[in-house]
Amino acid sequence: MSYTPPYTVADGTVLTSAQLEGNSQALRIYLHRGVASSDFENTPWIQTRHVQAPVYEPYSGMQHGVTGYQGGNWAGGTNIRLQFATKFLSGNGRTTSTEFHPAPQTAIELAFRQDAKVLFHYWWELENGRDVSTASYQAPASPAGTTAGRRVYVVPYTGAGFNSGTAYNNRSRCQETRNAGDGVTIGYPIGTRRPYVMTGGYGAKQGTFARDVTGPLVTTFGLSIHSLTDRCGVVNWGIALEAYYF
Amino acid sequence: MSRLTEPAILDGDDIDAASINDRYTQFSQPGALNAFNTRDGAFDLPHFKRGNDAWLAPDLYETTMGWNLWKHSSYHTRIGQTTGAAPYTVLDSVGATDVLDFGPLGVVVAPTDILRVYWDLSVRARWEGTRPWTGGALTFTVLHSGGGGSSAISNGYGCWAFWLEWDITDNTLSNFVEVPGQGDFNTVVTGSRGGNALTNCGSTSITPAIIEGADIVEDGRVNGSVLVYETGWSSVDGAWHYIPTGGTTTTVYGVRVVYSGPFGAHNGGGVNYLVRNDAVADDARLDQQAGQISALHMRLG
Repeated sequence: MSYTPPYTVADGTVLTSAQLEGNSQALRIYLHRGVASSDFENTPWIQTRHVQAPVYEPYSGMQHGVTGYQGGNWAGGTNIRLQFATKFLSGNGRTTSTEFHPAPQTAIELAFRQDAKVLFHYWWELENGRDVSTASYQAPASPAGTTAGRRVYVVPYTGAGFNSGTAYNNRSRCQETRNAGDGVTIGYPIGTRRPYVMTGGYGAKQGTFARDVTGPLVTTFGLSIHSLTDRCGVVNWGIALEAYYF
Repeated sequence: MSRLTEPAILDGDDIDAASINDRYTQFSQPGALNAFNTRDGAFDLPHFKRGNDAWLAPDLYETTMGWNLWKHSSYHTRIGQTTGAAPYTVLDSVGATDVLDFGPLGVVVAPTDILRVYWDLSVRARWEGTRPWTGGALTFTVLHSGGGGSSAISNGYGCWAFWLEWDITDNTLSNFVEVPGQGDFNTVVTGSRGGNALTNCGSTSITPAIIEGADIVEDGRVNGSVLVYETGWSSVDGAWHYIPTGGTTTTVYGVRVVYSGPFGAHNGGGVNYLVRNDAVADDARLDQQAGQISALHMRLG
């Protein structure tokens, strides 16, 4: 309930310092811990100006405020950031390899101030291959039409502290694209014999990674790649994240 | 508005009972504390109760699904389906159906809420036999090949379809039905073949069943050989959201991904459809591996 002075002064009576101080002390207590919900105006009144404005971090493209993080980063903008995926960083195409490597620039590090619900979005568009190299430890490259086993896998990467305390390539969430079934010729006329979309080497993928985060926590979200081809161009990519503190 | 308007005591003022009482009772303004008592930027993250208070994003669920062998050393293989078939579910390593389970109480989606679902799944479409998609209909076209001949070739529409079902009956998760805006592709559209109008494919994603072209194509003619490429392993993904209509509240106990195929494109009466290709279904295969499904329940207002 709202404040009620314990002592009401009456004309013609002696007012003591204790009575005056009692009223003041009751007021102090009320202001410090006695304001009840019934004292507030019973219609929504907190305006946006009363809430701390979110901070925008231009390089990562993220906005951080009281509700959490929103934003993202992508391959476009003023600087095109084409990325490559290559088997030379993940096992030289060996079918036995399970190595993943982070795709440069496709990660963001965030500081969660407290527990949050996180939804990490990612997408990419790639042209895979064509790789017809002949090392026998690889998936077959011949006869023609059997190179589909040379794939590029993209997975969401989560940094330390997110999954059992270690950085983690979430292999259970692999999304793959096969090696192009046909490619670039060095004979006249030089150029692409057939487009990637026609021969299976084009991949346009998107995925999400959702998780409850226990904060506070500083961690990373990004993309990792396992490639079984010598050259794969990630021509476009984007990552975005929404995190809610409550 | 809660404001203290009593003026300060100045030299020469009378100090009487009413004056003193007023200086205390002016704090008694029930139901009046509001924006005028709150400074700009007063509320920041530390002021909000710690933990998930189920306000903006009350519920988040996620799970992997399928058989998690990303090198594809083993996988589930499904045979093409014909009209009337119940769709396939995503199977885990022991052949059990994977479901995103919302728990015993389910997720209560109010008219002011939204349920957002995202998923992806690694699959491989393939065929038995030699170019069986040139049988039946829907998945091929016939082009001139010179000299009065012709060549049947994929029209690019052959696909497998994936969509969402939910259980809004109870937490036994034994009453899955298609989500709103989504049909089961078993309504007969042409001949005896079932399908959905594209307007009834609200949660549908597709993956190509055929990658085929032709060499030396010129002026609509195929002068060279038909080129067939394996579709190979690939992933298919989907996103769907639900906002209750008509002021209703829906309790959702679980969602799952289902799939069927092969399908082709059809236009009838000015309506575009995705229709089953029953004639060649027995030769179609879909290998299923692993993926994930997640759902976020949020407030809209």
